[in-house]
Amino acid sequence: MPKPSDLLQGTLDLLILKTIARKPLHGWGIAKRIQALSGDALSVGQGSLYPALHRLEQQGWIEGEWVESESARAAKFYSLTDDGKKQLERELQSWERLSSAVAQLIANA
Amino acid sequence: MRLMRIAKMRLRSLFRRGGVEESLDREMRMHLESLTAELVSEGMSEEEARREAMRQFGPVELVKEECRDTRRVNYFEDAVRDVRCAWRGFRRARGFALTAVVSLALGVGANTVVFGTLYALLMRPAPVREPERLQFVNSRGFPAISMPAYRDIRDRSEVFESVFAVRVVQVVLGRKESGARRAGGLLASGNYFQALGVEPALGRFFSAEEDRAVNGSPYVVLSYNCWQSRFGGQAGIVGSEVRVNGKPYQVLGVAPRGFHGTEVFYQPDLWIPLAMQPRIEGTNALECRGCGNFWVAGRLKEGVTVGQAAARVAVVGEQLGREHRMHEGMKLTLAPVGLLGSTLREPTEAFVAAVMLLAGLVLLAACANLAVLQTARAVDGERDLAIRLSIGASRGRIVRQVATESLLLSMLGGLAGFAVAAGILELLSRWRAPLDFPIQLELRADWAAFGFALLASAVTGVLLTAGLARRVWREGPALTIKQAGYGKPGRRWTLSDALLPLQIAMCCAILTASLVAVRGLWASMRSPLGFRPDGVAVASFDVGFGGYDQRRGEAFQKEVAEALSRLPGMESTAYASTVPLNLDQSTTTVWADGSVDFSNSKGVRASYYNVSPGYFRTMGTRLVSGREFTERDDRKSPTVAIVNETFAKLVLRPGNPIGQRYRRSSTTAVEVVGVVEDGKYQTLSESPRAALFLSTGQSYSPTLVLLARSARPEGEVAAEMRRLVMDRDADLAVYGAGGLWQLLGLVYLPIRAAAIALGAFGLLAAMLAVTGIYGLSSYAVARKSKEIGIRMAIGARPGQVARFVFLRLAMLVGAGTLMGLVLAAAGQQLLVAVVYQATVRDPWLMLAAAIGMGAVSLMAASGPVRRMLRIDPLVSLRQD
Repeated sequence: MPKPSDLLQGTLDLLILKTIARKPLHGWGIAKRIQALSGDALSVGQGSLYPALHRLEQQGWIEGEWVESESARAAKFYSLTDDGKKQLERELQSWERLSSAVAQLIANA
Repeated sequence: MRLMRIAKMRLRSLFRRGGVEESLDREMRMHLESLTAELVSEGMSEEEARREAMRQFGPVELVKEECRDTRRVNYFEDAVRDVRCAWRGFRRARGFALTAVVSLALGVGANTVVFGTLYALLMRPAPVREPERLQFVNSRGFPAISMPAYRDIRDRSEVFESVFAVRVVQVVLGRKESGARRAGGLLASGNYFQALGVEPALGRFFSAEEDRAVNGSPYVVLSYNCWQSRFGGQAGIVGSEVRVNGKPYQVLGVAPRGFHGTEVFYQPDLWIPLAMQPRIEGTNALECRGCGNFWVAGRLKEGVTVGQAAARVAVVGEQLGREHRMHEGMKLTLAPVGLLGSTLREPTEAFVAAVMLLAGLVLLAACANLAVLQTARAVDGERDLAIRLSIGASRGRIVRQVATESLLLSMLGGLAGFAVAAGILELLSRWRAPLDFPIQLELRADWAAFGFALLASAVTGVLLTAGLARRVWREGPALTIKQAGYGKPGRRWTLSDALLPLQIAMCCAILTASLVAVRGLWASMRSPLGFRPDGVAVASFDVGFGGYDQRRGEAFQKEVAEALSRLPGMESTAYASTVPLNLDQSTTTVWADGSVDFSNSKGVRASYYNVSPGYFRTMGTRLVSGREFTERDDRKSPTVAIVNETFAKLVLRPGNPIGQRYRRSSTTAVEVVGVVEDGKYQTLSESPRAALFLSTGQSYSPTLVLLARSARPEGEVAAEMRRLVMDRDADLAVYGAGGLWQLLGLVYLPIRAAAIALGAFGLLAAMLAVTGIYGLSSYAVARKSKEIGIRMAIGARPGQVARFVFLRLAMLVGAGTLMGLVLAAAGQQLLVAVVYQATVRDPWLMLAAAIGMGAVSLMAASGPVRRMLRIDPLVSLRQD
């Protein structure tokens, strides 16, 4: 199995926002989900996830809340705020612009 | 909405840090546990899984720190932590912290005191409406303008809204029942209060109409202080009657609290309409063009600039000079009010600027001192820094901590300095000049002084930070644990070595300046005055205040003088209208015998005194030729004069001066019967000037100074003089009673102030030098302890080792002293403003400064060197 590639600078925010857009998740869950949804192609550095989460929380895009999880242990669940939803839209757009530009460049080069 | 959420987050992170920290901790733990559980389920052992989870997660504490960083409140938190850390550091190094704070307190304190004085003298606005639009009119640099000239200036200059005149008078103020006391009065023209734009605290002020009837406007306005202290602050004072020089005057009102007119030195107790001048002073100066001594100032019209006004006033001056022989050469100029226009302002500015500069040098020396101490302390500090750098602290973070430490130190020093300054300023403003004049300066440790202290300490802090930060920044990565504390190998002199000579240079310059000032004082105390004040008691009174006419006044004066001569233990007694170097000086113009042109420019200005027989004997003035006055020099005999040598040189023909005559005017001539030695008459720094003495038997003066030379204590004799007058007339106030030295207080005031200020600076400089050298030599010893240990281990004798440290120190101190002397010599011009006849280029003085610095250095270095000699080679080599 190839080594999961490192995340592109700045895309971690997008991934986190997108991951919790469907339903609130805790840190561990977010890490697992990113790994799973990308077919194990992307791996989030376990440690580097948290500073990103805290930064997004401080910026007001996401909101953390301690709730009892199914395993009956309290965990901090992050969900998108209204501002976070808008931010996700913006990040998606800019990502699409970037990726299509890159794709175009590769196709034509 | 989002901003609110952010604000809430920040506040929570700031104030509920415990909760936030715990939450962070739990979050990480949960992640690690989940990861471990997953790994176990993949078949790892519990132990292995935990280790693998830790590996995958990365350094937990670093992640936590990064999370904390996102909260953005850590600047604040870090600052608090830095302050705590710095505080702990100071407590560990109490000696350092105390020395640092004390030396800064001295530096900042000295500066704040000087600034407080400067502010009070030159910058504090007068307590009136729009003080910047008030301009004082000087005539040829002096404040004296006559009433007719005042009226001309008022009516012709067109640039002023109003022009007012005032005159300082000493009066006796009292009410029948409470007895009389001397008070400082100000005769003021009727437009005075309106021009200044102040409102009375009580009652009203006098108006222009109430200043018309000559001797018919018996009104007074009391100062707030006078009302409080002499009349108990009674509201009923308005409309009541007080006695001024024994005559009834009606109190119209009380001036507002803190109002003292425009001049910073003179704080009048009462104001009286100018039209009362003849009655108050006994002679009418209102219509006399040659009688100066009125102070004139005006309020500029709206829209008129100072430059325009000055130009216009100069033209008026020229006109007056052309129109009246009396005003020949009149030159009118404008200057801000407060210090008699330019008369006192210019010398005061020069004086204060020079002292301020020296004070700044003291602060700079304190800074350098602190930098030296901090460098010395860096022996431990460097290792600390190196450890912190190597475990990942950023340089920025460390600089911030260093800055916190420096700023904390400087703020502590600044606060302590301000406290010291406030105390000194309070003492200074309570101090009364030993003068026959109500001079008082309002000195307060107010916001301006506090702001200045704060600024001075902030600058200090920044300077200190800059030095240390530079070091951390440049050497950051190079500061390895191994090297720290031992200095750079191979470099014998470092930049920090330059700090000590710099500090020594400044200290030496200050020390030299203070030596110059002290010597100046000493020299001026010993410069020939033309009389010998030691052992002479004086007391003054003015029969004019008692309403005596000339005949009764003369009789009264004679009676008192005779009683005085009968006191036991008197060597010699006399009296005079005034004495040289006293505040009260008069001059007159005389012409050579045979003159045809009696204009001012052809005459000679001479100081004149009315003196009784025995005056020269009592004052200790040497008679060069001729005779003293005798009882026979009275109105029945021709007017005679005694002159000084300069007078004889300037006015009389060469040859024997006795029997020659000089002209008092085109019609009167006076014969010279004696010549006395030259002296100082108005200031200590004046060049020889003409003086003439007339006999009290032939010219009358209601003001009188009693003089007695005796072996008895001056104070005791002065007290008896007071009694002699009071016994005969209890309503006459006796003033200026004491030793003659005290009466001369004012002429010695600047030089005494300079000696005290610079002497204090010198002491400070010496103290700073001691702490600096002590710090550096301690540092040197600590740094070289290993080397010294090795040297001693291989057989060096203590003397050799001591020489090794001393030599280096001597070189640094020597270089500093040399620089300091050069600095002082370069600043000579500056010192001249402070000390009369200041000269730095005096080999003895330089030697004294150098020896002083050497002694101070030796003293400071001896402790650390003794400590060094006790170094045990075994212990020092086992370090690390």
